Amino acid sequence: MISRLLTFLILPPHISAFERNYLARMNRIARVFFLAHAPLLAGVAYLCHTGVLKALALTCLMLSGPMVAPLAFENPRHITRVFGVAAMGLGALLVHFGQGPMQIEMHFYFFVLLGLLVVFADPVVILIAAATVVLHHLILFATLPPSLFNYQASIWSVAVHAVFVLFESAAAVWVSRTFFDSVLGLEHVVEARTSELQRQTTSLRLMLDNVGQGFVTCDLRGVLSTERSASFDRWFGAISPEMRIGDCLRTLDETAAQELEMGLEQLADDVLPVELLLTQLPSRIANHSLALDFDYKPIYTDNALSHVLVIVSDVTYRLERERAESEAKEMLAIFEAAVHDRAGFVDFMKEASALVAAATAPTTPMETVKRHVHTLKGACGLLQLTSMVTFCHELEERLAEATELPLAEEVRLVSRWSAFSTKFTHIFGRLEEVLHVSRAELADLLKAVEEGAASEVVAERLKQWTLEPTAVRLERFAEQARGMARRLNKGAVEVRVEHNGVRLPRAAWAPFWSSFSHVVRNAIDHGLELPGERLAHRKPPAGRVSLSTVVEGDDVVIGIVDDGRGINWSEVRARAVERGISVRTSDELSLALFEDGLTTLATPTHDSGRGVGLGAVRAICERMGGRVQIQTTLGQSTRVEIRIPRHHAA
Amino acid sequence: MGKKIIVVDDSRTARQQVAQALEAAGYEVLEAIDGNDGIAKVIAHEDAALIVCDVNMPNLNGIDMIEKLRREMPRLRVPIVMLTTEAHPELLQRAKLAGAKGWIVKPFKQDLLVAAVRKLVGDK
Repeated sequence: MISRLLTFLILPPHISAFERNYLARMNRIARVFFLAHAPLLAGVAYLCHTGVLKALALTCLMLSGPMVAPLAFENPRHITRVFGVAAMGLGALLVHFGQGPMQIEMHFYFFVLLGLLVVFADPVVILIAAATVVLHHLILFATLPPSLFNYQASIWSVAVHAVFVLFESAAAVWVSRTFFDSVLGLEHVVEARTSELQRQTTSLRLMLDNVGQGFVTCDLRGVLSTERSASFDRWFGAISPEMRIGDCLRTLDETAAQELEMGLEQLADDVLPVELLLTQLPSRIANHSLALDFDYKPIYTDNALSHVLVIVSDVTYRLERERAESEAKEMLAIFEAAVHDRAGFVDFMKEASALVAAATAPTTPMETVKRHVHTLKGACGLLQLTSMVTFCHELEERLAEATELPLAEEVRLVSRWSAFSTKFTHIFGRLEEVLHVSRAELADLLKAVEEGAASEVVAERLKQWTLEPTAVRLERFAEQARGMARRLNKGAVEVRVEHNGVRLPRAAWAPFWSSFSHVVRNAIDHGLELPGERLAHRKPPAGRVSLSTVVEGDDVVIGIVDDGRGINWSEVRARAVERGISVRTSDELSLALFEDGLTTLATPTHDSGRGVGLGAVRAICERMGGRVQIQTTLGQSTRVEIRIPRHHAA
Repeated sequence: MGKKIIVVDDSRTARQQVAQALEAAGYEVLEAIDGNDGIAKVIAHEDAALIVCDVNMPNLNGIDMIEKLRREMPRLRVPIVMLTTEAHPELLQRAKLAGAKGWIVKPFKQDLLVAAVRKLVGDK
């Protein structure tokens, strides 16, 4: 109760600039008002014959307080308190020099002054003034009663005066405090709010300056707001007022800038849903050194879209890192492949380079270009060169409808491949060709030499060594088949190799082997069922594949057998008919299987399914004077047998 | 049956995708396989509420089609929205000048396509 009273009576210590200004003005006015009392009191003294000079002297003495106070105190509230005392002093002088018939009326002046003191908005001023009057009355009543009353007043008269002063003071205290709270103090509250806002703005600014993302809002004409994060300025330079977002983007990507402008135009048109249009705004802008992702959030004012918040993230480093990671992975794959099978890798590089050259040769028909790209994809896939596989796959998609190889695609393919092969040569230099001779073959020859074999026989055997054992090729395919089966969730496929010691000229057979990889892929991808399906058909869950080479007379017979689902000829027939291929006899039907572009798979995968693969095999076999035969039992197995003259003409 | 919408696209897959989404939303879809067919359908179905039109098509492409529509049927009030794989600014600017209300980029989310159509034909 007491403390509440005290907090009501005593103002908060902080003096706002507004209050200081106000009091300074009031204090000036008050001083002028006080000075006016000198002639006034002199006049009253003259009229009442109470001594003009004495009145002037005492008034000047009383005025010295208000005149000196501003020099003595810095705090304007202290000055007003001095004014409170001085005001009452002047009231006392008026009563004193107004002695005579009007003396009691002169007491009104105390009440007038108490009322005027409310302008200082300080209860303490009122209290001090009231206390001054009370003291003044008590002291003079005891020592100099004629200074107060023009009759024989009792102490009760003093008490009556005191009660009136008390009443007015109470009211004046209340009014001055209310005045302070609702006018001077309100300014105080506003000031506190303002500084809080300032603090919030500062911390928001700090956040915007330090956040990695770019934030900016723009209206539907594209005009940017001035508030934005520092990153935005870093990417797009300083933004002048009324600058549009399209102009910022234009420095990086003209097309994206146009897209964004048209997108905003669409938003302003309000014809299509906001959600749809926001997804159609450009989401990534990249040039050679910077890649930025854009995200957009709608801002509504009065239920209508008014602005768009644009959130920009720098993804340059992330993209670079991802690219670097995938490159590193690919390098590892190259390294493994090259270490594991040097000759194979050399072949791959030669073959792939030849394919790229053939695909980009000006006279190559489009169907052949597509086939080369497909073969390249297959070859890269076997070595798990994922980035090249993806590149080829995308190229195939783009070329699907093309009737000729666009120049841009040609350039891309060539530069892509040369970048790849440069990388490869960086690591390995030029790989030398290596002869494969097994210990058994060596021991066999040694034995023959020790047993005195004729030099022609030895020479023939050594010459054979310069040929490539099919074992190397078949083992390589076996490895690839297992890896592919794993990738396609077909389990631990069992691959058997029967090479029968066959050796073949390497260069002459290289194209054949590379096309043969299509056959291997087909066996795994199309032939073998998934483990669940196999179990349902009472087969062991993992498929079995066997790869073989054998010399039969003048022919080499290369075979691949799988125990998968077999070929569904009626499906092949349906597809063939769809494409207008004649399939009246069973020979024609099996030929149809090798037709370019015929596939029974609905969606092409990375591994196979464009119907290009088998066509390539048949083309090469025929060039080498050989033929392909297929035997299949639906639901049980497929055997592909390729028969090629050992010393073929090509 | 709901309002009629004419879908002009040379790709059967694309037409089916749009038709599926719109039929599920209660619209009647009329398919046209190129610009010429599109114009024929527009003439045959004057009560159509909307034309959804692909840009790249053989014979008569989408933009030529709507330009022709504006020329030959100046009183036609059916809103047209373009369906396009690439939001190529110049192309779209032309489409807009020819009177297209806007464009939807393929591939689209079905619910967004339906929302767009609802807004265009004035269904809430």
